Amino acid sequence: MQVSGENRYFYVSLYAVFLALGISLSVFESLYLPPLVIPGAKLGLANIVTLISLLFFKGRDVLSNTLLRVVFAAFLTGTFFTTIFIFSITAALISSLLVISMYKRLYGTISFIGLSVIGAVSHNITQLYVAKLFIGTNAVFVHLPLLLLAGTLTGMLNGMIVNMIAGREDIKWLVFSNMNQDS
Amino acid sequence: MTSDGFKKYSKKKSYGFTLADVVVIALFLFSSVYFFFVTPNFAKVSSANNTYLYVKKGARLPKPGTGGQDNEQRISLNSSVSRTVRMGGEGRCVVQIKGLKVRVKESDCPDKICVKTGWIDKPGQSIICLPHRIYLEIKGGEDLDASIR
Repeated sequence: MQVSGENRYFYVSLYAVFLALGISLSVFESLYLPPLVIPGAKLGLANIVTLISLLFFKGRDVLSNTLLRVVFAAFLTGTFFTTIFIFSITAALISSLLVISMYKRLYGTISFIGLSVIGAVSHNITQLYVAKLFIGTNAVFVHLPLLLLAGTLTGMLNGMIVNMIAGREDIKWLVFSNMNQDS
Repeated sequence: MTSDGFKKYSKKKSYGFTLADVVVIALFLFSSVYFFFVTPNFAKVSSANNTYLYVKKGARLPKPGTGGQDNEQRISLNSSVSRTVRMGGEGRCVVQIKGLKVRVKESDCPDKICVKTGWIDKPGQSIICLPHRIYLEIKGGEDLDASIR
């Protein structure tokens, strides 16, 4: 993270706040919310944080924020270096790269709802491919239609929440003061 | 965030669905329905490819000091195979393989339990002929070999 200018402290602090928010949301989700009916599907509340951080940070910082969040959440839920961790880190990497690049080119045409849906669905598909590499059969793709459906629905939900948050005046003010001395 | 992006962001008045959002969502919902009809067949073909018939001949209780003298054999099953295999040494025990299904067609054993078992076609099912000491089992396919939380 290389930021210069007056606002670098603000930037770093916001980075930490977003990381903390993401970790707490994803730990809360995996520990306290009941799992959805479809195996492998979850709400992905922490992605709300990732999507909002797109407004504040450079692309590589959003990426590192997401990956750090996955690692710390794995530490806290006790899945570090298990198969689940490998699934989630690769899926997080691929889907956030996709979402960050789409945000840079297409935001305005597409809102956070579409970005969120694309992120969720690409996350699920990446996980299926990694699962195929691990297990070695194509049979894992039986889950594909259900995971597509789940990704679309949860992505829509998260995206609507993000849109609501992004429309708030105080968030706009925060974004403005963050990029004010953007170098 | 670039100042470009900020202009786009701050100019936005409504924060509902845009047209592109609706297109993306409709696309994924449609492909979900599409794959719902496509993937079951796909998975069936892939699991059929690795089922095989496990044959064990001359099995007996191991005596101390003797290793396994069992005669094991694997015959891979797929939908195009159709043949009969003679087993049973001096006796007569004809196993018929037809596609993914297996049965004992003829046997000269006294009780004919193996013949009466009929066709087996699912992983885990087995045919046993005790007089001939033959054990047939279908293996592979959708055996659960990993579970993911």
